This record gives sequence, structure tokens and C-alpha cells, in this order.
Amino acid sequence: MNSVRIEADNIAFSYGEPRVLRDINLSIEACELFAVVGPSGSGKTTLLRVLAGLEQPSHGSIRLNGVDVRDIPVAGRNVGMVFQNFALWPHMTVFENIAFGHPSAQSSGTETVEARIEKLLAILDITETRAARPAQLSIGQQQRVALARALVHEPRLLLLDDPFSNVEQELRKQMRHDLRTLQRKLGITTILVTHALEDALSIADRLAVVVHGTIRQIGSPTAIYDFPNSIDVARFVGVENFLAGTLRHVERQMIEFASPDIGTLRWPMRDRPAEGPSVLSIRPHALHLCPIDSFRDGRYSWIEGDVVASEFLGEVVRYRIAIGNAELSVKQPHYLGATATPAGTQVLIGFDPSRARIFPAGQNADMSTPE
Amino acid sequence: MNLANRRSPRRPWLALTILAAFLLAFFALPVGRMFLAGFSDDEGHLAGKSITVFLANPLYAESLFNSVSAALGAAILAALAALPVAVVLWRFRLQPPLILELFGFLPLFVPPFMLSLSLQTLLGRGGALGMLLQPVGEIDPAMWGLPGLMVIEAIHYFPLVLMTLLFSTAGYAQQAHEAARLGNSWFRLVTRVFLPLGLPGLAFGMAITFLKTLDDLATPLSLGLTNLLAPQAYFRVSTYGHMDPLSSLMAMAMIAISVIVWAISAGFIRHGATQWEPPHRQTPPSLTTGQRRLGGLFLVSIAAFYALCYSGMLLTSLAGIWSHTLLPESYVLAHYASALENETGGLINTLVYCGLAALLDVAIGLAVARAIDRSPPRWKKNLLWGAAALLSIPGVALAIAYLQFFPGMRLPLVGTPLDATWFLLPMAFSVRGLPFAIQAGTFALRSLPAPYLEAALLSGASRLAIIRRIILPMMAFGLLIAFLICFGIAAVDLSSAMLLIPSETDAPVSYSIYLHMQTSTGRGTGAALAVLTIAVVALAMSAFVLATRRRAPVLRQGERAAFPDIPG
Repeated sequence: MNSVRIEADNIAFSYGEPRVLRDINLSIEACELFAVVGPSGSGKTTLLRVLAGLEQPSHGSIRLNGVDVRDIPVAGRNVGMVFQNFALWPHMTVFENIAFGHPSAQSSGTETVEARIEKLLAILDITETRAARPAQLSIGQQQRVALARALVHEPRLLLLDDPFSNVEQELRKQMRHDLRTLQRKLGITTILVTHALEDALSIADRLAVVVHGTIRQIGSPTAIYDFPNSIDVARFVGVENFLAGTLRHVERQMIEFASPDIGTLRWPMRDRPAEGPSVLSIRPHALHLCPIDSFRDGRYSWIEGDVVASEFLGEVVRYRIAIGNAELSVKQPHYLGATATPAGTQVLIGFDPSRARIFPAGQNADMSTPE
Repeated sequence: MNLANRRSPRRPWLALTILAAFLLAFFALPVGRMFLAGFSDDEGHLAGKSITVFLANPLYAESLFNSVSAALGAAILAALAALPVAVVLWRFRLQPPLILELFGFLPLFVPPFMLSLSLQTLLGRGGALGMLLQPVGEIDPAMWGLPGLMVIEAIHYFPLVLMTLLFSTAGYAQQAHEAARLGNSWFRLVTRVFLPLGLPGLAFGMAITFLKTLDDLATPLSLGLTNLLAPQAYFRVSTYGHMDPLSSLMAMAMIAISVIVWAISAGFIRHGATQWEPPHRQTPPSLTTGQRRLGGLFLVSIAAFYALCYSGMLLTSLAGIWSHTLLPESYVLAHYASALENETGGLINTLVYCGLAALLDVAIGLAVARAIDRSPPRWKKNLLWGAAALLSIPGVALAIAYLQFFPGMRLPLVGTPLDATWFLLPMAFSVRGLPFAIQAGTFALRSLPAPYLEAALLSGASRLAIIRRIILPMMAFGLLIAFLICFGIAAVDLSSAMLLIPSETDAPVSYSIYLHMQTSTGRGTGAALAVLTIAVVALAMSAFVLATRRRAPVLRQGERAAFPDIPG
């Protein structure tokens, strides 16, 4: 397939006030599987619709292989799209759904459309469903038909609008694996929009986190997960603990973080953030919970607290620990037969500073620990 | 056409401008002109003389009082009858079959004067039961005066009030049962759950009953009642001509009363926390065979009561000779033959008028529904309620307004005066049908969610192919339903028809039925026409039920209903 490079410059879009998208800048390489993630209502689907041409940006430009497509109508952009509910026409068979818009006489090079459809049906393993109506198909089959319909006209760009939503976990894993395999096989530039971080992390080459209509961070899945650049992104990628305090540079490559809740901590950091009011963030599973009289390993900074509550989540137990006026969320692996530490127990929390992230205070979002 | 602007605020303006132009020409200007006529003297100067005359004449004051009393009485009686039945259905979670649910809306598609004439045939002095019960007392509804009108209208609109009550409470029946199992008394559940939740449904059903009874012209006339606003306005127009200021005043009084009643009921409907849901969508309860049979018997007895009420019409249509006997002495099909042979003109007229009105309504209803769907959220409710407020325009008042506004105007090219043609009739039907058309338009739009059309746009298919293969097949059912609803609403609008038809040859079938039933020789033919009309409505409803059962809902929760533009 003829893949494209996509560049979006300063895209803005609104249905009125407030703006849905603001200053979106993107560059997606040919053949890349690029994911757009973000919380509900962040504007990610609107971004996809703008790229498809279904919505026209109020500002900015979109270039496909360097050509501005702003004035090219939807049908002329050669874009394939899979909708969230697949949008298969219920009164048509699978074959008719895929072939719609492609008269059988029409051919592409040496291959007729019919042959191409048969080939796609075979690749997607849905040949036997060609005469079935959408209502007779399973969710997985419906997704494949929607994919075949999007791919039949050999699009330069494939857009996927949360195609795994409302799908049960096991099927979801299979569907995203199949999608990734097919995308690699066809080598088509693909943009996947999803609210589920796991979908994006598992199959995307790169991803963009969209919050409140702006792209907050673009990077590889591991980069985004390990090094979120803002409180909003950190929260979206699963960081639950945010502690307010003051940062100070004390020695070369050493910083000191003083918080009324956890006291003063010092640790080395090569790229030292700016001094002043800051927020320290750390994932629940990067904290270690130990009995109060445990040996205090020198690799960690240790904080004392009280267990407020515990939740057994299967693989892990999630504790809420009161530290001063704050509460920390701590996830500990569950071991066979082990019971959760009861509420009211005094505990030690081991804290590896190298796994913490520091953000300037007042950057965005509130500091409260999510429920 | 630029897709980009399809959500911009400019788009709704286009549809709203067309609607505004239509409403201006066929609603606001005629009604405004009528208001001026009501307050003008013979020379056309503004004066309050007509009000003084209106208020000084005891007949008009009595008419005003009677109209309000009859409408209020009918609404209260229908509510009193519907409430216990609804409570029983809710308490035992008896789900009427879909077909019975639909027959609850039959009052909107069958004029009430048919029930009046049927009951007179049954209970009148020469009728079946009337003769039998003569020694006991007078049971002819025509002899009851105003209470007779109230009872007939209440019986006619009872199924509608019952259905609106059930629709507003059905969604909570299961929770109520679970609460009852947990120890809450049914009295408490009925008073604290059923009644508050049912209030919006009850208010809506009662409002429709009130407005339709106030506007009803044929039923009071069929009962010989003339001291009501609608008949008085009709007589004054017939006697003194359409520029009569007193008829304008009566029409204005009807509009004012209707608006007040609609505003009060809208207050109840808007502020209710009800989630409207058809009872058949609920999970069926697990009833014992005995409970099922008892429930079935309960529903069948209600259906049987209505069958009995309308049996007078059926017997008349089949009666060869029927005079002072319990049942007809002989049965013939001649009345049906006569109806089909001689009344094809009426049927064709109905098809033309109501078809035109329905087409217009579907087009405007779709455009308005789409504009409302795309309007800013804060506007949506107001636009919907604004459109629904058209329900409070009585047919008699609109017809008088047309008669006063259009006489000077002529049809382009032909040069015939507008009021000498049937042209105004479909326009009046259309204005009256708009509130229903907008709801029906919303229903039709919901059958084609935006992504389905966007997928077609992205496929590169031509505009014609998208319309032919996607839009029409997916919306066909919704459009057909919208058309049938608007057609049905127009077909029973006898109040406008009686004033606006230029001659009897131009009359729609409902007016033909009314005229036939007023004569002793034409009653059989009129009854046959009425039975045929009811049969057609019943068939249409049954077909709707069958079609609905075969269709799965396309639109999912939270999905955008209205489709985007198709680029040219």
C-alpha cells in the first residue's frame, strides 16, 4: 500500500466555546502505528475526524506527504476509517458492505475490486461470512469487516476510532494483536484513537497523550509511561501519588524535597528540575510496604505511616496509607495465602527517589489522590 | 458543500429560516390578523366593542364556561379511569402486548365523533341496549347534555392517558417489585413512586385530552350540543361570514385557554424526573399461569369494552333493516359497496390533503429535528418545547384565522381565490401536525447515526449512490412511520376541515362520515366508511408492530443521531 507521512501544524477546532482542539502539532511517519490516547472528552476523536476530513479545522494545516489537504474533500483524501461501533450498514451483506463505493467493473491496476475483496476476506479470515448480515456476526468478525471496508480502496492512511471499546478483555487482546499483525503486513500508516492506555502501549510505535484538547506529550510507549512530562500525563499513565513540597538544589547533582507530609528527603539527580514549589509524583507499585520495625535498606528513603484501608485486586493489594495530612496509594504484589495488612497498622514505606518524578507546582491538575 | 461547517451555528439557521417562513405565512400572520380582527370595529379601527358584546351575551359566557368544563371534565374523567388501571398494570407488572400499546394511541388517529355516533346507535332510544334498558332510565348519550360529551371524550382518550401513564412509569416497575419484596408496602410505593413518576405522563395525557376536547367540533354537534366555543364560532362564521369579530374572539379565547393549559402541563412534564419507556421494552416478569390468565382477562376486558363501544358502528354498517329491535333484522354488505362506490371522492380527497400535509410535515419535521439536534444544548429544550407548543393551537381557531387572512389572495397562474380551493386544508393540517412531525423526524434521524453516513462518505461513493443505497434504505422505515403518523393526525382533523372545505365534493372522508351519519338514509354508508377507516388504521398499526419486531435498534446509547451533510 501507498503509505503517507502526516504533518499537522497548529490545528485548532471548536464547535463554539470552549475549543475542542488547540495548537495541535503532529508528525507521523509513513507505515507508523501512532496512537492518540487521553481521557474521555479530551478531543482525541475530534482530532481523528479532523485528520479524516470529517471536520474542518478552524486553524492550521494538515499535510499528507507534504501536500496540504485542507481543501481536499473527504472522499478525495483516500483515507480508511474504522468507527467505534464499526458502523456496518445493517441492510447489506458483508460483501456489499465492503464493496460499497466500488462498482465491480472498476479495477485497480491488474486486480479487480472483487478479487481484492476476496483477498482481504481471506487475509482477515472472514471469507465464510461474505453473505452474512452484520447482525449475524460476532464482535470480532464485525471489526474485521469494518477493517476490510476501510482497507478495500487501498487507503494511504488508516484511522481507527477506539475499535476495541466495549469488547471483553480476552477478545480485545486478540483483536489488537491481529490489528498489529495486519498493519505491519500492509505497511499502512495507521492512527489509533483509544481511551485505554493498555491498547496503545501494547501495539503503538509511538503515542500522543491529549488532555483538554492539547497534545501534552509524544513519545514511545515506554518513554511516556516512565517519564511523563506533566501531572496530567502522569495521572493518565497511572501515577496516583502527588505530594506538594519545595525543591532545593543542595549540592552538585543533589536535590532536597521538603514536604510537610513526608519531611525532607535528599537524593541525587543528574538533570535537576528548577527550584521552588514542586509536586513529587510516584507510582503506587514503586513504593515498598514493610512492617514498622523492618530493617531500613539504605537504597530507599523511608517514611512512616498508618494503613487506612486495603483493597485486594487479585495480582496486587492496594493500600491507602496516611502520611501526615496526605494519603499515599501503595500497590504490593499478592503472594499465595498472604492476607492484607489490617487497617490501623503502622507501616514503613520504602521510597526509591530515582523512580519519582518532580513537576513544578501549579503546572496543572489538582494534587488530590484519586479515589 | 463544505463539511467543515456542518456543526457551525449557521447550519441550523437555514432549516430554521425555512420553518420560520412557513410558520409566518401559515401560522403567525393569519393568527395575528385574527387577533386584530377580534379587536377591530366595522371600519377596521381598533376597539374593544366586540369584547363587550362577547362578555355581555350570556350565550357566549356560557359557551366559554361549558367548553372549559367539558374539556376539564373529560381530562379528569379519563385520568380517574386510567389511574387505577395503570396502578394495577404497574403493580402486577402486566405488560400489554405491543399491539395493545399501539392501540392506546388510536384516539389520535380516529375522530371521537365516531364513538359518539356508535354509542348513540347502541344506547339511543331506537338502539340495541337503549331499547332494552328503556324501562330503567334514559341512557342515550345525546340526552345527557354536557356530561355526555365529557364521558364520550373521556372514553375516547382514556387509552391515550393510560399509555402515557404507563410509558412514564414502566421503567420503574421492576425496582418497585424489588422494593416491595424488601418490605415496602404497595400503598407507599404507589403514593411515593408511581404517582410522582407518573405525573408527567398523566399531565401530558390530560393536556392532550383537554386540548382535543376543547377543539372538538363534530362530537358536540353529533350530540346536539351547540353552547360551546367551537360550535358557536363555527355557527358565527357560517352565519355572519369569516370577518365576524366575535368568532375571532372565540378563537382567541380557545387559543388562550389552550396555551395556559399546555404551559401548565409542560411545567409538570419538564420538571418530572421520568424516564419515558414503553412497557414492552421491560424484562418480562415471571408470572404464574394463574396470574398470566388473570392479567390477560383484565386486558381483554378493557379491549372488549372498546369493542362493545364501537360495535354500534359495526352493526349499523352491516344492518339491512334495524328499527326498534335489539339487533338488526337483516345484515347486508350494501353499505360497504355504496361507501366504496360513491365515496371514492372522499377517500381520494383524504389521500391528497393528508398526503400533502404529511409530506410537508415529514420534510419540515426532519429539517427541524436535524437543526435541533445540532443546535447548542441550551437551545435544544427551548426549541423542542417551542415546537410542541403548536399543540395548543385549536383547529377551529386556525381555520378561522386562515379564512380571515387568505380571502384576498389568489393562486398564482390559475388566479382562483385561495379560500375557494382546498389548498388551505393541507396547510392547516400540516401546521397542526408539526409537533408530531418533529418527534417523528427525530425518530427517523435516529435510524441513521452519523458514523454510518460518514463511512459511506469515506468510501468514495457518489452522492446519488449514498442517498440510494444508504440513506433511503436505512431511513425508509422511520420516514414511513413519520409519514403515517402525520397522515393519521391530519385525517382526523375534522375541526379545520369543517370550516375550510370549499364544497362537499372537496370533503375528506372524515367529513363525509360525519355528514352521512347526520342523515337517516346515509347512516349505513357513513358507518361503513367509519369501519373501513378504523380497519385501515388498525392494519397500519399491526403492520408497524410486525415491522418493529423485525428491526433491531441501530442507535446505541450516547451516539449522535443526526447525519452529516453529503458533499455535492
